[in-house]
Amino acid sequence: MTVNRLLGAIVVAFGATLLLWLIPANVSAAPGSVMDPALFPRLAAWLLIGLGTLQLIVPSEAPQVPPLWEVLRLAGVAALTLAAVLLMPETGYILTSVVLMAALAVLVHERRIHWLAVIVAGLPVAIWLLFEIVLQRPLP
Amino acid sequence: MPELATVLAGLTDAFTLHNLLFVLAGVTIGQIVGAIPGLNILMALAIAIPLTLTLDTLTAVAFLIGVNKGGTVGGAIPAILLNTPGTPESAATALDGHPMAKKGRPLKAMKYGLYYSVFGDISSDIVLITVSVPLAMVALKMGPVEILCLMIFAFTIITGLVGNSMVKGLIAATLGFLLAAIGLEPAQGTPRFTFGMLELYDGLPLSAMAVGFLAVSEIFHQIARSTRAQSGAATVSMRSTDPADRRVTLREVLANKYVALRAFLIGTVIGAIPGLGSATAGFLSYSITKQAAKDPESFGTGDPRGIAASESANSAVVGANLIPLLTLGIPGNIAAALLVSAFIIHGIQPGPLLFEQQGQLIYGLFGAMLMANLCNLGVGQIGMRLWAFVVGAPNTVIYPGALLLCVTGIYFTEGGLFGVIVMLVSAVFGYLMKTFGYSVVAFIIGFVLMAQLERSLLQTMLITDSNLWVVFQHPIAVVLLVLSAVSVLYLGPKRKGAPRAGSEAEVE
Repeated sequence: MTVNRLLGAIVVAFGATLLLWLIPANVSAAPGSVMDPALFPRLAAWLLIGLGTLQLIVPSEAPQVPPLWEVLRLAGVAALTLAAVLLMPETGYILTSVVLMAALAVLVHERRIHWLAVIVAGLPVAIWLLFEIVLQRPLP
Repeated sequence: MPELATVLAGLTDAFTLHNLLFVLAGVTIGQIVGAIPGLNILMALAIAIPLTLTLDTLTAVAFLIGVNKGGTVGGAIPAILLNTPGTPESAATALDGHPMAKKGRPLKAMKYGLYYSVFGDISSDIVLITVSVPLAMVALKMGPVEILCLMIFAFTIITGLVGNSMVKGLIAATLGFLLAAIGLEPAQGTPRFTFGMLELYDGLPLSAMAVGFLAVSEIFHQIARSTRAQSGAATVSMRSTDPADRRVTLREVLANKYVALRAFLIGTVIGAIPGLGSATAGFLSYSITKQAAKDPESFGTGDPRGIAASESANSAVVGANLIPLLTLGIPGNIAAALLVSAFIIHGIQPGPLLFEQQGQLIYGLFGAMLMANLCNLGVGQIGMRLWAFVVGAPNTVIYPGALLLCVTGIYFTEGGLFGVIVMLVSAVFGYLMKTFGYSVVAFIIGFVLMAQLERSLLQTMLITDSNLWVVFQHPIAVVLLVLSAVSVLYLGPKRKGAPRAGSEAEVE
């Protein structure tokens, strides 16, 4: 099964899940409603099933799948950023941003001291000053 | 017709050094905020309004108009230089602006963006000044039935932006359509797909979604793919030795005059209709221009027509938004609603009697708008060199810095961490969609248009007592439906025969 067919199957399965479970469980109409609140979600589900089936049966040019190391690094960057965002209310904006920027600097292979100073210290402090002092808007 | 004395008195009030300096300050703030990924015009206006409380009415309004106009121009800068549109309306500019910048012509791309943006803005201001009242009457004829048909037309038009695979593009648009259903449904306010989370009752935040899908996904991708060998290179090359790569001649600007003119008309019409926005105008104009071109395959590769189509249209919305606001008191979008609040704070009551009761002030406002356009041109010329210098820094500095700005900007815009989490999740989905060839742009358009489509369908059903055949009694609606049918018939077969390399610009 090619990547495209697999993706088509996933789209069909998602459309079916919407119709059979997600819409009935999460969309409810109040009595006397002019328009069924599930109309558009159901329309989308049927479209996904139809279009996914088309993708499943009609051959098309396979997408270029990125190397595993790139996907893993991207997942790492996303997880790191999410962790920083979740920690921010506890640890404060500046400390969290400094750690996040230091980690990203390592990931992008930046080793020059002056640029490290800009990324790790300069940027977080400058943004904090902009929001907290100039714009008078609180950050975590 | 207003008396000439009123017009001249208003313009005289506007053209003072004091007002010019405030307009200049407003434009500068707007351009800086617009150019920072994650920050947007609404935020700039929200910050600027309290600063105007001690100013006299005309100066205050002129300052805010400057912020509003500057923000639109500034939004194109990160879209062009980093492929990270800071605001949804500048996303269409990235489709051709960034490829042109990557070819070593970032200044040229920014100049195209600036010139067409100022053209769209000035032209729509002239429409506002000269024919705002009759145009507002026409816009009023666009009731729910007509807007429903306009949305249907817009959906058929976006087939031009679905990318290389029609099926995948339509899947992407359907997913956007589906995600827009999250939140309270418009008829009776019952929750839909909220999973018990209060934050989802307002739906997924557009700014966070758009910045995540369009900008942060690109930043993640660039950070993830960076290797030791590439480390330290500039994001775009600024070292072209050919002077033609750094300047835009009048001849080059005029070469796309019809594209810019059509884009301005689209932007003005969309802007004059309350409820539609700059993002819709930019994408609609880009799509129509691409489909009307003899060589649509050149779009997405750095074609100036793409920049002209997007920038003229989204900037034309800024002036046109004031048409329903000033003449009828109806704000066309959230930025216009913020302006209304500022107007009321300063004793201006927008509405049908405004021109009669405060004519001098309104013509002063028009004078300030024209000044703001010229300031945009001047500040933009200086600013683009500054931004080009900033982007000349290594990618190892630019991408982490842009990520931190997006996180901070969305935290601030959405008022908490929920928006930032939505942005990060959107970024991962955006990366996966791009990787597997699903158009992120089609997804965002589906998301933007669905809410308006559902609202206008509901309103249509209410006013027609659920008899949708009544649509055929509305001439404008019938014309739009015919155009939709023509669009489907014309675009469908044309696409099948000609798969277009490079038409999906965001997939690299």
